[in-house]
Amino acid sequence: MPVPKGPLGRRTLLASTAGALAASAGCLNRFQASVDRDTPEQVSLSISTVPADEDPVPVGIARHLAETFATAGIDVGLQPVTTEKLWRNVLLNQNFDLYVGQHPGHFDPDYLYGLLHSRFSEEPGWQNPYGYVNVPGVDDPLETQRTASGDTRTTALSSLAEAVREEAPLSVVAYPEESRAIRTDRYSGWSYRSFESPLGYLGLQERTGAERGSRPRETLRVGITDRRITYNLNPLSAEYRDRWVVTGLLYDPLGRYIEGAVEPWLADDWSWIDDRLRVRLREGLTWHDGTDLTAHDVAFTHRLLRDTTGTAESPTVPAPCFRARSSLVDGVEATGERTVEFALAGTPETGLRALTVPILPTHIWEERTALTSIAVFDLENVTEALVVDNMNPVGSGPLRFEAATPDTRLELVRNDEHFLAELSDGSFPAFEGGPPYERLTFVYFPSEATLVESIQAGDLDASATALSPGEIERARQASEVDLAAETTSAYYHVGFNTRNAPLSNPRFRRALSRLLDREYLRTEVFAGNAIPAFDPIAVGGPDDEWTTDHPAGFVGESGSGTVEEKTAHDLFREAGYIYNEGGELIVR
Amino acid sequence: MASGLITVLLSIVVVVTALIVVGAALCIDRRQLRELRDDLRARLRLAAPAIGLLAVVLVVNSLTRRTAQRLSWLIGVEITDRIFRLEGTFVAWVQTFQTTELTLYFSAVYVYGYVFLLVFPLFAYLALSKQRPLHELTIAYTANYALGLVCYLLFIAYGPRNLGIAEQFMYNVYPSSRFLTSAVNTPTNVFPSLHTSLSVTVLLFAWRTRGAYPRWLAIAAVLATSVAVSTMYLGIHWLTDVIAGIGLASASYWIGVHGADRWREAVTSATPRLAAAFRSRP
Repeated sequence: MPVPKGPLGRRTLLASTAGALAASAGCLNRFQASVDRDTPEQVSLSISTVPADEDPVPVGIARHLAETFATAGIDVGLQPVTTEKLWRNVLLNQNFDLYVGQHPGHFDPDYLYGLLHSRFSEEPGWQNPYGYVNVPGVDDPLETQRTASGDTRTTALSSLAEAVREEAPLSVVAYPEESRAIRTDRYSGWSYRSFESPLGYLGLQERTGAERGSRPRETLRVGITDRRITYNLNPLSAEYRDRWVVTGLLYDPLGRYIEGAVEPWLADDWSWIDDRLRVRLREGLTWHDGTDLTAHDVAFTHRLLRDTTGTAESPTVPAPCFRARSSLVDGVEATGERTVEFALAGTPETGLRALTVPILPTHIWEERTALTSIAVFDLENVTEALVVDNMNPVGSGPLRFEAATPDTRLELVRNDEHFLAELSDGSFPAFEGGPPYERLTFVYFPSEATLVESIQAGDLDASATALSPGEIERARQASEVDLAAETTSAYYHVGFNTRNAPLSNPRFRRALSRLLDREYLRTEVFAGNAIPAFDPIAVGGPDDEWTTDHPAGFVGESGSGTVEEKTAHDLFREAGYIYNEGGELIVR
Repeated sequence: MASGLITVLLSIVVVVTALIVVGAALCIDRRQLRELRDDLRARLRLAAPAIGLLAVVLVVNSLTRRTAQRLSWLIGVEITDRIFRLEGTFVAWVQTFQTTELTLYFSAVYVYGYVFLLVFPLFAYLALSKQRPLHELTIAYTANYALGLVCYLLFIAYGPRNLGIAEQFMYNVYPSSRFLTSAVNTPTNVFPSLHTSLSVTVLLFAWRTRGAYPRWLAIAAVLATSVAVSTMYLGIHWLTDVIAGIGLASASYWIGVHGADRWREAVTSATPRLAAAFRSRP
């Protein structure tokens, strides 16, 4: 319609428009009432995961989910990102819908306090990355298990596990049986200690000369397919640390989990006086640069983990790792050169977990408490301590940093000043005398196949990273190569960002997690090398009550990997959702 | 690991040299080769500026790869999912034709055939009395790499193998090839396929020089097609990457044909000034 020009024209137009409006007011009302409603849209979800090169398991799980989600009428995308980027998105930036990944593993169910407590729903790190809030349903059992023992604790943990299954802030998939390719001609004891902890490297035994042949003993060479340790050794950087194994060799804690219990490590002894724990350090401890390690370093470390700004002012910037553990510490005080007193929340069973954090040297880390600023950017809520790559680490551990070439290798050497080297009281017979090698070299390999070939050729002693299911069979058939297998507590899981609708609805999350066929994944993705599970609690091993017909289990036929469209749609209809004519799951 | 890479590189040198000898015997006549021997120095001097430019682009690429990769994660667009939605499991379908023979053939084409396809025309065009095709081809190679690098900076895409859609046949039968691919590339640089674009560029020039080398056109056609298919068969690239690679090849061919004169003029006019600048230095 041509618009009339000039004042008269405009007035005429307005008048005629008004007339038309008056005439069609009823129609317009209907129009407005219709368009003001939000048009329902198909539910769209993005699944973040690492690429198959870095770990083929999560992408296999993600693809299975993508297929069953699609059957349920959900528009689903797959977003592969590097491991580093995945954890930065999930743990630090809360920028994800769903992710598939591996939890670093745990030694005590109290780790769930950090993972699921509502008080951490806004904090970065492995502190409630799901933004999950359930007061008192989950918070209460979390508090109870921390301060109770015996049957009371067991009951609290069972109700916690039940709630996690029902509420599904995360959905546990399986505990993998991890296998590492090794050769046993120079060192033995590979399967004696868990590779989930640094003890795997410290419990090795040297072969005698005859068994070893002409091969030298100086260097233990292991291959890795994860290059992050070649350019970051900061124990406080959550996105670079999977299990804290390498930083655990460089940095000692006061106590370590050995055979399921926290045993004194840097500590000589400890005793409870009422609710205070008095810890005495071993004699003559030093840092790798020769400085004395004292009780002040211990007190400093615990204060730093609670607030890396090192000031009494707000805001505080806690270290995004170890929060569950640092929250156990109500107070810490160095009462002498070798004695520290802790006010601990929790029973001896849970409270001692606070002693397993790495102790950091005051003289290096107190200079890292400033908020970071990069050229023109002033960054809030990030301190130097959290972002420094720390490629010249000064720790107190049994191994010392020697050299690193980014994306290529990391070299550590034996610390002869370490207490293990002179230990002879029989307290740790497996570790007495320190590591049986002078040097430990981690060599980066772009693929597991070439890594296994190098072990076969005798250039390497072992794979430090667990082999992917497809490579386990190849390694099993390779001559000269053995497998050291163990079931770990580092479970694969699907995490939901409960901050955003519709993932904020527990009914929706439960429906999603019922589209996960654990039996199918066990055979197809893990090639049988995993124990399917529902529970994020595995004391001394994964949940052995796992059954395929569990009420929280797969809604389709277990093991088939597929679900009928009607079954999937009924699942979401029961949860209160609706479908459009095209079979799309819709939400306003 | 370094020794693994060196072994692979040595095998490439040996195989490709053998292929070039065979290719020369098939495609280039004796008279041309004699002329080349007599006139080699002068022809190399003519080719030097363009080959120098290509070398600069390649060196810059290898020196900045790590930084470029980090920068790409900062500013790039993640398009893996979009590609997957676009073409679905086409590559998985290609892989259903898998046989041991095909895997060997396509792996050999991907590693050796590709290098031969790129190197042989440089040699063949050097043997021509007219040096223009060599010049154009070099400029086109440079354009492929330069434009490819810009794409890799702007787009982050993982290949079908990394999304669990495709198997990695080549790495399974020939694990050490992984040393090579990881040394020269990063897994997020799949869009577009440079293997495809450079091979198709060679094919376009083989068509342009079909009068001089009719047999080379036939060889290049078979090899270039095989390379493009191999990138998908081996699970490294998406069909989308291959199509984008053909687009990049067309653009690079155009730049090679039309940009050759400009580059030569620029270098010719700059040479005296550059030479003067060098002479005037204390």
